[in-house]
Amino acid sequence: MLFIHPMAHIDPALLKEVDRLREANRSLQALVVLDRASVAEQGSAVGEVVDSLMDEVQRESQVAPSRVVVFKNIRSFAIEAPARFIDQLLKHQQVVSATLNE
Amino acid sequence: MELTEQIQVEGSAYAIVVLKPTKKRRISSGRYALDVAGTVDAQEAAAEKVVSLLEKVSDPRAQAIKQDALYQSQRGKSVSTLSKPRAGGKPLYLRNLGVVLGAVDRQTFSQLMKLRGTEVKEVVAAAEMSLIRPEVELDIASAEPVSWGLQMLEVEKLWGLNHTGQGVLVGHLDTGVDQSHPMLTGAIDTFAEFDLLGELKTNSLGLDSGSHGTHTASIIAGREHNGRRFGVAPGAKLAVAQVIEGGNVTARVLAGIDWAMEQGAKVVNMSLGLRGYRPLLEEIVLAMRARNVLPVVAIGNEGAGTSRTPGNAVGALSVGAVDGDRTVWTGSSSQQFWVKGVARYTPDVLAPGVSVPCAAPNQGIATATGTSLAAPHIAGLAALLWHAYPAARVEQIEIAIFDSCTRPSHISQLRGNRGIPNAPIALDNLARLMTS
Repeated sequence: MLFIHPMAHIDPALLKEVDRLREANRSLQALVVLDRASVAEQGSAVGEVVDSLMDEVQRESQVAPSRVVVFKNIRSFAIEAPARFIDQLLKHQQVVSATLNE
Repeated sequence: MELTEQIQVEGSAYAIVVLKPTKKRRISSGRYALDVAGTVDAQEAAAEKVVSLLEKVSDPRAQAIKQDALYQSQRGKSVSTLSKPRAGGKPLYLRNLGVVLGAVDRQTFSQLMKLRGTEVKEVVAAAEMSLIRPEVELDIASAEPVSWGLQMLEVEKLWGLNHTGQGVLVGHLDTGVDQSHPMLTGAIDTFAEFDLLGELKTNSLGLDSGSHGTHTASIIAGREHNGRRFGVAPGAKLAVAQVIEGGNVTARVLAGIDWAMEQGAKVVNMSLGLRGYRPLLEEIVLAMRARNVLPVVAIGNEGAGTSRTPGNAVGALSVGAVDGDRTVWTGSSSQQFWVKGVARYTPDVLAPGVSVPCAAPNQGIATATGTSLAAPHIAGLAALLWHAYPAARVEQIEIAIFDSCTRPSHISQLRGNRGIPNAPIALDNLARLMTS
């Protein structure tokens, strides 16, 4: 089940960009921070949490990210992916904050 | 951050009000184009209504500057030296763009929402992104053997106790450094550059893409050269991440933080920031602290009533600039935030930031002004304290610095918060904290 983290801070400019690019099936770059609790609960390294999240979102959106760079010390990653993928990613509870790469 | 959230946190915010009425003209059967002249005419009335609403809101920056002027004049400081607000207090109607710029508070926002669909199309935050740039004067002919900033903080007393920052790695996120500068010989531990998505580049040239990074690096960890000392922690080493200039900055800043932590940095200096408040960077700052890394960040150069992220994030040690007379530099940002009804002030502390002697590329020296120069003084001070007590926690270092501060009576809490730290007192504070 998908639900946005209740305290999630998603940059409105990112949401607008996702909306704008989704129909044209174009890609964009974003920065995502993972929820502290979900990383700790899973007891895994940040890289493993990101890998599993990417697999799940890919299954749901039927598209794949072109690049992902994991910042393992700060619970975050940079991603370049089709807008449809990002849209789906932002619906996951593990995402606590996200912004456009600008 | 959403405009509504910004208004809630800051009381008011700068906004762009996009006007609604538009006129089209028929250019052929079934095809229409925007009638520019007609649209401008149609928007006049709407603009008048919006401007009259925004005029009632006091400009947050002008208000902060006025308050500061009053505070200083009451304490015998001349107010004629204070700068005027950079952004005018009156709303600005940009006729050809069909927008009105101005300050919006909660009441005005709700009034504008009632005009939505008729006079107003949308209301959005007017945040603007740019880097914190110092004012630089190159090739100064003379400089004191020990810079005035180091004297003000009394860091020499810690050097006398053999606390030079040796064994402490400081993350330096900036434009890179000129590694050939004699003041930086032996100061650079490692250097990294990233691509636009934050991936580590393998072919870094290890240069300064401007001069900003060489200035700030020399204030943190510059070595003595030709009898001159500009570096607070001349024994510390730097993990230099070239992260700014050239677009897509956010990914590279995050990559630089992550990389510096991987190298083992205890302090990360960021003389950079994005205008306004960004929640994402607050998460990052809190993640750094959780791993016992102290983020030291310049608050910005836009004056009273403004601030930048991540300097304004909860968890960042934010730094404003003072001159040699212990007066806040007029360009030094400062802003009050409200968290659940409780006021929070930024910057946390003040440090030397006006005409600060520092290294410049091509073996030069310069003086530079801005909060970019103030933050490295505090990053260097944290390195000295960590040299003295390597097992200290980030909170202990921070409290030791905060409790060493004195705020001159002519500086209000709103502008200078805790005031200016003192290195020997901070060391004493830390000694007590480590044994209690």
